[in-house]
Amino acid sequence: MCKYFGIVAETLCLYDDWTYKNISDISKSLKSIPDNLKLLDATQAKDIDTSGMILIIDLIEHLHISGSVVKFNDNQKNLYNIVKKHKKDTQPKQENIGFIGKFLSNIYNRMYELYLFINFLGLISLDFAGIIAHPKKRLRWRAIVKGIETMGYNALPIIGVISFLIGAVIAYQGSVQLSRFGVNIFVVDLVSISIVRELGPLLVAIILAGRSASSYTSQIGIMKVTQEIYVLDTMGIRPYDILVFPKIISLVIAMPFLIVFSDILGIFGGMVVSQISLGVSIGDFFRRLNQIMTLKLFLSGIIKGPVFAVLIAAIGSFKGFRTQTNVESIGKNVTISVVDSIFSVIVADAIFSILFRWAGI
Amino acid sequence: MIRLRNVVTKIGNRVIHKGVNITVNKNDIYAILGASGSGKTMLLREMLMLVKPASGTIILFNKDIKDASEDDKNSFRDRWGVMFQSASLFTSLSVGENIATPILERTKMDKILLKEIVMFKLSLVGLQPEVYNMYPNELSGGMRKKAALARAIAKDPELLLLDEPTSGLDPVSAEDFDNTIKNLSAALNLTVVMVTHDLDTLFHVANRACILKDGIVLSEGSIDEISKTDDDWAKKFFYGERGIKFQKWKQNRII
Ligand SMILES: Nc1ncnc2c1ncn2[C@@H]1O[C@H](COP(=O)(O)OP(=O)(O)OP(=O)(O)O)[C@@H](O)[C@H]1O
Ligand SMILES: [Mg+2]
Repeated sequence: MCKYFGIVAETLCLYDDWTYKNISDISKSLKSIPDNLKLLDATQAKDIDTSGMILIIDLIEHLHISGSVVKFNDNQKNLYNIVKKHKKDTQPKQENIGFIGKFLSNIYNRMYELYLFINFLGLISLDFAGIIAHPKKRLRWRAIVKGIETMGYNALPIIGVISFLIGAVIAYQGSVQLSRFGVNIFVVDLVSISIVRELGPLLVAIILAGRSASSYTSQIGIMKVTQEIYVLDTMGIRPYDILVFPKIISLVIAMPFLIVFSDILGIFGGMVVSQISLGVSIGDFFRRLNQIMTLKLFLSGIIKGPVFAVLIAAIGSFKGFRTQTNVESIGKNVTISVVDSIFSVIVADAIFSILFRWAGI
Repeated sequence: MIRLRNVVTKIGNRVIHKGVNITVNKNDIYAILGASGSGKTMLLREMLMLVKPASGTIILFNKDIKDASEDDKNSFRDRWGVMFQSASLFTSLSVGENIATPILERTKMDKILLKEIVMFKLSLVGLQPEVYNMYPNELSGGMRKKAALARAIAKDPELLLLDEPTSGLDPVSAEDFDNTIKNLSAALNLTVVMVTHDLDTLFHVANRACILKDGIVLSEGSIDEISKTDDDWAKKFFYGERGIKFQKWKQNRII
């Protein structure tokens, strides 16, 4: 019949290896055996492991062969006893909530997450009041300075390069249209206003969302998995004091400077391109820049910095605390934290635009 | 089954093993003893081909691992089951999936049969059926150890390498473990290499052992032989307060 068993005069003889690797082949070919067998002889099998023995016991039950007419050698008998003692019947159970159920439960989960985030914001605001009351004891200056270095200072090169390129690209795109009307000098307005008001802050925020929010989430998530957060708690150290506030504060401090840096390099990029492709001299560029760059315009971009910083740091840490204690959940939450912080920054930017419009800036 | 000859291990400038010689025969239940930090786990890692020794020979399944091809190495990995000191279950898989992983990596299997096999392994290591659907972070430390053991024996390997299998278990579970290993190794011709500090396991289960200290093997042989080792640490291990208490208790129990 097949190489694993044969039938000799109402006796099922087992041959070859009845081990886990062959189990699925064996169980497939077993489906075709007649059920009028009286005896099972395992003594000729080369090797039987626990998985094979499970199959044999199933077979014995299925064929209603009573234990006395099964032939085992001593080792097999031992194995039979061990397996028999621990084997249980199992029914696989299925869970199916369907497409709509999944969709609804997803929406519910997202709303619940938002509710928890608002809760978290409330908690840290309250805690913040406590910190202001005892800054000496609870403010971690060292961590804040370290945060400014790793999340601010170390981000300068990438922010500089990207801002320079964006400024150059805007000037270049604008140059085609502007030179058609012969108003080349307006390239200064185009570059500086768009960068200072919108693109500078947004660029910095998006880079920080990718760089910082992800690292916050994974750091806190892994500390949760390794139970370091519990340890902090038992030592009387409030986890938020060293894991959340230094991040928020350092980012709030660093962000405005990063935006200024991004503004400068963006405008510099625009200036280089204007000179090359529009022939606007550096002197003219600066004179025009001096005319349009008001303090209001400058600050309207900078002021977004702290708000974006709080959003990025808070979402990054919040997602870290939301991870379950398994590794996959860390990866998932890091992704969500980057996406959510970019999303929230853009929503906040839109709200700023509306507010500025109202205020007539 | 396993032979180590003059194995020297260095991490950076630190010498961890100065020349280790170990012989594990087929069907041995072999215990590696030694103080914390003496390099027992490191020795296991070398046997598992995770860490390369600085010099020396390691022979696994009668083949020098230096001469072993990638195929050979994969077949070694197929023939052993491993449990690490910190259990190291896959945290994103349920316990059932953890135990099924080594099986499914090698062969396809019908779902019901697979579940039956996994359930059997759970019961064998003394875990309740409910644990099947639980995740590692929902288990206690001892339960995690048991689940890790179930995963190690999932494929009924011929060689079992265990790092402190009974530490963190309650005495009853530890005794169950001892019996399980003993019965299994008899029924399946297992060879077991384990790092252990558990005198119970050592005396009741192991038939051979070695003591690792200061980067060398102080003594190797049957439990009786190594308990006569002339060394401070070994004497304290066997005849220190804990050891004495244990031996007295053992004698009383025999009488
Ligand atoms: N990844 C590593 N990097 C550097 N040194 C290490 C590393 N892992 C272990 N060591 C060192 O190697 C030595 C042996 O460590 P090992 O983990 O093998 O000890 P052990 O005998 O298993 O101890 P225990 O009984 O506590 O588990 C220790 O001194 C340790 O400091
Ligand atoms: Mg160890």
